[in-house]
Amino acid sequence: MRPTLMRALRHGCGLVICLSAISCGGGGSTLSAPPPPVIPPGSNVVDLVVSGGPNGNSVNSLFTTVTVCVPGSTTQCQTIDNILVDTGSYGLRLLVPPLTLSLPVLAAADGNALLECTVFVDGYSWGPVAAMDVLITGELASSVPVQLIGDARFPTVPSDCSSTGAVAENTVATFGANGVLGIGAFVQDCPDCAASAIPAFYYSCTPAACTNTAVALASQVQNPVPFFAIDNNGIIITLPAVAPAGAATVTGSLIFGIDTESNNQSGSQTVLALQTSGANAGGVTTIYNHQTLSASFIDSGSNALYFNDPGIAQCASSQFAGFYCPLMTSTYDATIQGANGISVPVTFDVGDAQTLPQSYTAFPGLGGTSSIAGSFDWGLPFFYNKRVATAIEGFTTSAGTGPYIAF
Amino acid sequence: MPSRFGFKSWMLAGTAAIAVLLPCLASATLGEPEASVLTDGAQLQGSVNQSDLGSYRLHEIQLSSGTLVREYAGLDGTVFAITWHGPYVPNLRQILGRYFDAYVGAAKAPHADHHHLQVRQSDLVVEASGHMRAFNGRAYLPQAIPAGVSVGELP
Repeated sequence: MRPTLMRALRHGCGLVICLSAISCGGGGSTLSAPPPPVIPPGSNVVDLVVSGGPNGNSVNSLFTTVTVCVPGSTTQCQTIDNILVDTGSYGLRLLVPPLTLSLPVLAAADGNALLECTVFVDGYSWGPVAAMDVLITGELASSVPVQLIGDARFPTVPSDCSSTGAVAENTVATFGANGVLGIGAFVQDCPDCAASAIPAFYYSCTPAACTNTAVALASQVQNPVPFFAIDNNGIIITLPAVAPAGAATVTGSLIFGIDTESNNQSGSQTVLALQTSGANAGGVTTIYNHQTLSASFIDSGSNALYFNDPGIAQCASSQFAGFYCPLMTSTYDATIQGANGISVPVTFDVGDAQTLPQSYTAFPGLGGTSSIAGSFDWGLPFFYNKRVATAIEGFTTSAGTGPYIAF
Repeated sequence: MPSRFGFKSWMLAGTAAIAVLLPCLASATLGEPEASVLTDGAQLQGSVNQSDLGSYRLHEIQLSSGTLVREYAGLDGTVFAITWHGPYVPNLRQILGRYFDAYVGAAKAPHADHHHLQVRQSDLVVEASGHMRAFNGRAYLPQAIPAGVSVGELP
């Protein structure tokens, strides 16, 4: 039976967990949660949590906590929780506020301030680029270019930036997190920008106006993991199994490095190389229902499994348009194939999206339709009950050379 | 109304709200005559190719950034669908034309997920997905799709 309520939900006022908590040198979310999977302790492990996020209304959204410092300082630091963990982007981006540290903005090639328009599928985020030290558990990345989203020093969004996206996401309320930690398999967020000015990406700004600019790779917002001293070749996300009905919250671990410590060994994991260029850069191929879906990708920043199957009932309610609402949860088979030709069979569940209780934030059976025919987006439900390694482009592990995903 | 799941869905009350916007825009594409494809090609600094596929014509605009924009025009000469694939999201204000404001109005944040968006109105559907370096999307006018054409099968 499905609940008949529309669950006036969607306003984010029903949950009281995980409010923004900021402090200097400590802190983070305090949640009562089931015990995490057993991970050997180490300075390369940080807690992950699936929660409602700062607005209390997120589902299948993975968060962690980072500390950032003025470069070289051990006292001018700030610890910020509710940072989205996203393997589908590259670089750390922090909302201002809650970030309050005073950080100098990096200079563009012409000496003016360097700003960025980050285009997500659902909107754009605007703000300057500043270097800071990024400390996550025992790992330090020194002087990493980070985007400051919503910095009041630069309030005017260029029109070509706002022309790419649906809406501005420059506040915690609209962004849905205090920041995003982009730790996918690539390093910089725009290698093409090193050679030429890409529209609606990087800008050189005076107080009066902004113009598109090329940016050297070193000044681009980028994945902080390659900056770590040792555990710099990739990351591992490990999350426990979640009951088909869902869970109020889920905790797991983000482990830095692959085959660099006793707790991040590749073992017998299968390596799927990621596409390095083209229209599906960072992606894989999925074979599902006898169809070869060549625009597929594995992405901790997607909150569902997005694929097309006319045999699975879609939700009737317009509140859940585009999601699946089968009468009962069923298990399906697919095969994921890397750019190296290696294939791995996987199974996944799809359940009724409307049955998720308001108080739950993790739902392994959440599936939705894909906007393009040739794609299977393996979002966060894929990561439950798995240990998924992401090796960074150009870096080598015992199992291979990135970019790859292994599980 | 924000959705916990990241998708947006609005069933607006029909075409009236959109229709009043009609006279306001000149260089739009979606819903505009086919000639506007050339405007888009010039505005987006892309090269344009055209092919005749029977019940509609396909115009491809290859942007120098690497993104491919496809515009589909019915035999009546009206652009009824647009898709984009590639490393960067194109200038949607340009290619959605007079529908851009309706798209923005319907897609209010927050979205629980930054990698998907869906806007469904009776006269405009916009669906997009992807991640940094690889974006996909399509926008179409459900009431302008030529008979016998399935949006899901557009090349």
